[in-house]
Amino acid sequence: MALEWFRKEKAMAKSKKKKRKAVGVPLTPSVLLKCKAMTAWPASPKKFASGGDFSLTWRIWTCHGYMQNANRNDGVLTLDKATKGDDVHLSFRQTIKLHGQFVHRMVGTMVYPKAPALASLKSFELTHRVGYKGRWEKSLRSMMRGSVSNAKLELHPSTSLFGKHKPPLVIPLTPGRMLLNEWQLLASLPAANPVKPVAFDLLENLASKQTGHTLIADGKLPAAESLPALTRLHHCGHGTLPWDYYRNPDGCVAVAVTHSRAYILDPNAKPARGAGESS
Amino acid sequence: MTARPIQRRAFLRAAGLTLAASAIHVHAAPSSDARPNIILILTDQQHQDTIAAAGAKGIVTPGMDKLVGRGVTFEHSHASNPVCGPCRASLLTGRTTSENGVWTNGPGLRKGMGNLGEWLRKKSDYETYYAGKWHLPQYYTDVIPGFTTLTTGLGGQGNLADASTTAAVEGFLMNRRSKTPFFLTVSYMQPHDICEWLRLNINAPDDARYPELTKAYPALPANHTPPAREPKALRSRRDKGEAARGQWDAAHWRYYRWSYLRHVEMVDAQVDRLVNLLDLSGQSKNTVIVFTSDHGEGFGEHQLTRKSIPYNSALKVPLVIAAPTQIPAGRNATELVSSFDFVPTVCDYAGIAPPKSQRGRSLRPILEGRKPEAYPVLVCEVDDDNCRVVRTLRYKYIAYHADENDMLFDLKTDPGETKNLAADPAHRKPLAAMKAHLLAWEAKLDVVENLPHPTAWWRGGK
Repeated sequence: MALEWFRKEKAMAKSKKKKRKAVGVPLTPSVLLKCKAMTAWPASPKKFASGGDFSLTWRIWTCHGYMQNANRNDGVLTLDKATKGDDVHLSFRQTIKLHGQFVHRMVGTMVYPKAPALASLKSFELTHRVGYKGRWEKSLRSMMRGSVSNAKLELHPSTSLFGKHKPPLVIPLTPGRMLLNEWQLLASLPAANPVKPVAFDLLENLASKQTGHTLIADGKLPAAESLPALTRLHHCGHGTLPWDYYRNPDGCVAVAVTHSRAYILDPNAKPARGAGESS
Repeated sequence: MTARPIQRRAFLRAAGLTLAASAIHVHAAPSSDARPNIILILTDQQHQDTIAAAGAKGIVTPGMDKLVGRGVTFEHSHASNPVCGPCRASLLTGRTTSENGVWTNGPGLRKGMGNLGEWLRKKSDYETYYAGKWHLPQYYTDVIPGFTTLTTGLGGQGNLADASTTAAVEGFLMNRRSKTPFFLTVSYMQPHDICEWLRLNINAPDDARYPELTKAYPALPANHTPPAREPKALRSRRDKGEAARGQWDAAHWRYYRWSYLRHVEMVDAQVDRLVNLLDLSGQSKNTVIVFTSDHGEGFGEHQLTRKSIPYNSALKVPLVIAAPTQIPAGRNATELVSSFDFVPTVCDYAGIAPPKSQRGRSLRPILEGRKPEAYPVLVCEVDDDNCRVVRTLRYKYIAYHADENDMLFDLKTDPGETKNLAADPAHRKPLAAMKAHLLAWEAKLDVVENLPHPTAWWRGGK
């Protein structure tokens, strides 16, 4: 029985391999169009101002490495930038549709100075929710508050059952080095025009400190078939593969790519189904 | 979340009804117990030499480093079979993959065999939970026999979904009030995403794209060149299909190695967060953490990538076990160990007898500084039942079905497996001894029917 299964599987795998075509090269705007991750290059919202407040939504598209097979939209990220006094309050909401009937949502707000364009995080609040079969599971909900001062990050967990009276987790930071978050970069890069490489540490998912990052402006890319003239920036460092940011002429980050994952500006993207909005 | 009172659980157990799997339902009623919680942190496709505190270069791994500092690091830890599903099957059954039926990715566990989660629920009152990749046989499933599923994951997208796995575990640890011990598997996808990377980087990298990186590329490994007299099945991995890397130049290999290390750092971020959460929740004081991977990665050694190969790059895996209250911390262990040893070890801590016919033994004596049960040789199965590896502390023997080119390495003088001694007359004696070890090992196995190579010589065929 098992042997019969094995032979069938081998034959099927051989046939599938003949049909599928590996992408072969890193994901760039033209490759994303070829892979049908998008049908046209995403335009910025009307009245978008690089230094102003805005609400932007990106579809999170992932690639399995083949031109057609198993590529899909796995999530949605929405950022709302609001300037309040000398600070920016950036609200975020990211929903990932996991396998089966599970959904993971991260929602919260981070605060950082409005000037300069790239400025270190000051504080944030973050709530994780796990949904299953259309309901948020209270037992898997967690909240974290973070604050940055004196070269340290303090994380305060807070749930209904635990954490209010525990000491915070203290993560030492590199003195003098900016601490940025990947969503903050999506919101800040429209107004950033670094002439020299910018050094920073990354607080990925507002949870994991990744060190030794450098942001570099690659310059202007000439307009090409189906693509406007774009500017590109990238950053590299520990804990991630390089991130590439493609900005429209007005500065809006239309597409960001890291490895097999692309954030594609899409105001019509809806959070993955599978969890209700209650609780 | 539906909390079930312990009285109801006890009643269900008495009625023999607790083996059913479920998604989420976390027990919440308090009780007290001196036995430890046990957490298995499982990464996917992690080369053994990728933990900074254990000596790896060019990588930053604060999470795994914490575990190394708190626990015992096993230098000679092996996957029972260097493929995802098969190794996971051994981790959860304690049996060889030819016995549990998962000798390749695809088949499910042998009917009636059960798994560690089911045994713990049946024989102890441990609560058993699972988060992340399963792969027995489905990559991900909402319902896992013997476990309550906290969350699943996304195939090939560990870079996105592993954080979701940690988030679910964070909620679990932060909200749980029960003092009943638990066994939790946290199964991450990374650094397996290197498979997607390989498909997106078949062509040579444009060094001008990220010029600042080129100076950070790791060197080629010392054993980049394959040894002589490789079996055909192994040679062909280099020459055909997606895995063909024969056309890569040194810069491409080095860029791949740099990228692989970043994949490991991605999962380390999750490990770090998990360890921090355990500390914050106060549960690390009574928790045994077992950190390992299902198999390694070619990593450019012998000009190979990925898995299902018998070289140490894919066959050896990181293994760190940390239980701060019970183990002298921060030391290395040099015994040969395997995925088989996981079930007996967990059963030992849980205070139950492991099921019969286990192929491994409890590692608890090693962890507690006592002498372990003898383990003269270790046998691993590789490549769809097509290959066997026999290990002693000094020698390593590799045999393929229907291929005269076998391999023998003296790991004492050649840890990189660069000099094949199988045809060397001076090594006839150890070669014969390794073959005899293999025949003796295979003779005691209760294998499933219809394996692909029933007439392999190690099963008495010619």
